[in-house]
Amino acid sequence: MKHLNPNRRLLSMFNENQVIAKVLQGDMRAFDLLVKQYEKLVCYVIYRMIKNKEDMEDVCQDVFIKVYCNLSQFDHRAKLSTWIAKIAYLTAVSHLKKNKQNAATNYPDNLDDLHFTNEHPEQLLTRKDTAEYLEHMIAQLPEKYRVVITLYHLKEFSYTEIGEITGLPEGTVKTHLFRARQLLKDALTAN
Amino acid sequence: MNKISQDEIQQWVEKLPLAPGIEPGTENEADVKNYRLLFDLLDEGPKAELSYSFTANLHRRIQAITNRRIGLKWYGIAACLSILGFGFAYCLLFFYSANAAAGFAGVINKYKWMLLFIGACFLIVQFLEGYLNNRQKQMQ
Repeated sequence: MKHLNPNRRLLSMFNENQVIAKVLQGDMRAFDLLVKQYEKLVCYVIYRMIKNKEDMEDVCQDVFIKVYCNLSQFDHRAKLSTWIAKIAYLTAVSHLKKNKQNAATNYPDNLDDLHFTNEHPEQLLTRKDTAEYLEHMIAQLPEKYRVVITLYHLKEFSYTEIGEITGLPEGTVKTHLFRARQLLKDALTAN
Repeated sequence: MNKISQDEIQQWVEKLPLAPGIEPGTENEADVKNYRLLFDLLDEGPKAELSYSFTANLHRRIQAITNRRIGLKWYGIAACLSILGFGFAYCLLFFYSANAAAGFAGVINKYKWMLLFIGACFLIVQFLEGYLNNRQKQMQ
């Protein structure tokens, strides 16, 4: 399994318009570059949206297939990343509907014990546990909260763009983001 | 100092602009610390992983879709050419003999339902192929 650390060299070489033009001409190497560029974005959105992790890879593939098949319809009015994120979000929502995983979940009352420590030698282990615990908590947030918090912390999109992706008004995006983070902070504080 | 809300603490931790005089005090120290930790973790993102075969599988599926599209395109062209061929044959026959053309048209008219049935069967097979492929993928 590979970790999704973005390849900085590829990122710096990525020329959106040039890559799109090449993909439209059927250049699969250009498409690979596009996949490499946006796999982190797609994977994060799908990972946070879909609870069944076995389906994650298939849904990620579905997203990139839709990107490949519909790239000629991309009108450059939004960023390519916004367009791809919207496809990822809508594909995940569609998958959830098909698989009826979209049931609302309540924030749990009983939280596992976690101790937050300051900088010391045990920090790495504690931080890993905390990260896993945080993912567990995020998975229990409502779908809209999950997607908003994921997209915002990718540091790629503005509130307006997140609204464009999710179909939510900008104010609602902000409310969801602040509320979700407060819920998560409270969960961390409780430990 | 004004009372500071959770939203304002978040904005302060993110270094976003706040109204003048809004600043967390000692009573918000724990919240600030926890928000900092939370934001660091959120910025790191999930440990999402894709298999090494992801790109190869993606290529395979795209190739299958492309082949299917090419196949459908050729079937469409073949269907159009057949219709044009019939039309051309009718015109030639008509030019040679009106009776022969009428006979040809009669034969086509006689077997029109069979021809439509073959066309419908072909479309149903294509549809079922796509449907079963999707089902198979979902079952896996």
